[in-house]
Amino acid sequence: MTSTKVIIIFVIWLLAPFISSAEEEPPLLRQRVTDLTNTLTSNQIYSLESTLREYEDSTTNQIAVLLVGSVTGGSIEEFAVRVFEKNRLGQRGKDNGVLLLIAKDDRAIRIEVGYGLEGVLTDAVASRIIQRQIIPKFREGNYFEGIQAGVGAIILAIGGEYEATTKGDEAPVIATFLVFAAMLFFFGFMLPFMAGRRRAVIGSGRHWYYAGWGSMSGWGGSGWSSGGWGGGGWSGGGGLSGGGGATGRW
Amino acid sequence: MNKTVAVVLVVLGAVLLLGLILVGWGVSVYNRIITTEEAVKSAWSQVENQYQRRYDLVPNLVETVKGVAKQEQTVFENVTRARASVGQLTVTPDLLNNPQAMQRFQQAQDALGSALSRLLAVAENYPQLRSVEAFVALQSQLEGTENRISVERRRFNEAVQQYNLMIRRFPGSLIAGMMGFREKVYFESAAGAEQPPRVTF
Repeated sequence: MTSTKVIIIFVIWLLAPFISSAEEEPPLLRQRVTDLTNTLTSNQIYSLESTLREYEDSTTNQIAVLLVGSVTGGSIEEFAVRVFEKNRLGQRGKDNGVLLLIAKDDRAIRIEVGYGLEGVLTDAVASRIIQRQIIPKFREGNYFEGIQAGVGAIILAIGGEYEATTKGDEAPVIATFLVFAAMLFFFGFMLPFMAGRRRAVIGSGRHWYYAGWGSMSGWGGSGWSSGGWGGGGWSGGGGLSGGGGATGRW
Repeated sequence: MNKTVAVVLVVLGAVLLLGLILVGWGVSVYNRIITTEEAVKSAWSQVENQYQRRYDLVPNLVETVKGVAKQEQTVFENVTRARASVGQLTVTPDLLNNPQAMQRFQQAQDALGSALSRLLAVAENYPQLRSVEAFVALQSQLEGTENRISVERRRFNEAVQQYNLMIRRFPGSLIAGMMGFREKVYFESAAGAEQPPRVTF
């Protein structure tokens, strides 16, 4: 074996892990709508994103949209499951996620349904959504409208299958907040008031009451919003799918 | 005299301590094997569920296609026969440790799978079926079920791989040998099915 051959083999051996992993690794979704084909405008993405965010906030159901060029070396079904596994759409334990995957160059659509939604978004329903809502629009080249109609139909099909449980989580927060408020009221207002009746200094007591109130409500406010999804990163909640859903081609 | 007693006691204590540590370590390894084995069992029950779902779909599908394509008797008979032989399978928990039983199970299921795909291929020749709502729904259910089966089979194989690695690698092999854990059988996948898909953007 000549030395150049050895070097070539060595280089290939060095690069091999990068070559294979770069192609086979399903993408990590950072937002609900991911367009790797530059088909949608940023306004369209924003519009879909806000629809999905609103829906997720009220139901915890996670719907994600992914547009890719082409899936090779395996089926779109398999790829959809891998994307789902990697991103864990839906909440842990509820498995209430849905992936709408579009392989534009393959002209293939896949709706992958999490275990928890298989009962409402059945294979037949998913297939009907693809055939009747999405494909007619895609045939005309209206990708955005097709996706919009598909997402709308998915939301309609799932409806209120899961309620946002944040209400339950917020209850103790509200209770603590009320207790705090009552304590503040008592110490900051009633005590100086009672003291004031005994002709003590009212002004300083009042002042303390306002400062205390303001700072405490500010703290409560920040604790409030942290329960929802932050504006920056979005990610799956730990759900899983098992190959339910439907595939369609246009 | 006193010194020798003390030495003996210290040695005994050390041996006892070492023994306790060994037992504790053995128990923890054993528990890890049990955990992976349970994962295999739950993955298997998912596989079985999906096969059961397909099994339950068959009669309706056959009836619906029969309504339009009465003359395709052999196709219907093949499907019915394949389904009957799946129905005769006795699935015991021992199946996972028994390569022969596992093979019989796979053969029967694969036969039903290919009979069903022939049925669908024949149904393609009857465009009027396309407008039968029930058939379209059943077809999408069957496709979905086939896909679920392949997903759960893959997950089962991954669980089996975890388990087999656990009991073949040291120190798991030591405990597995003592407690009689045996390697479990993989699901043989159809040719080309094990390649992960690639995507281009």
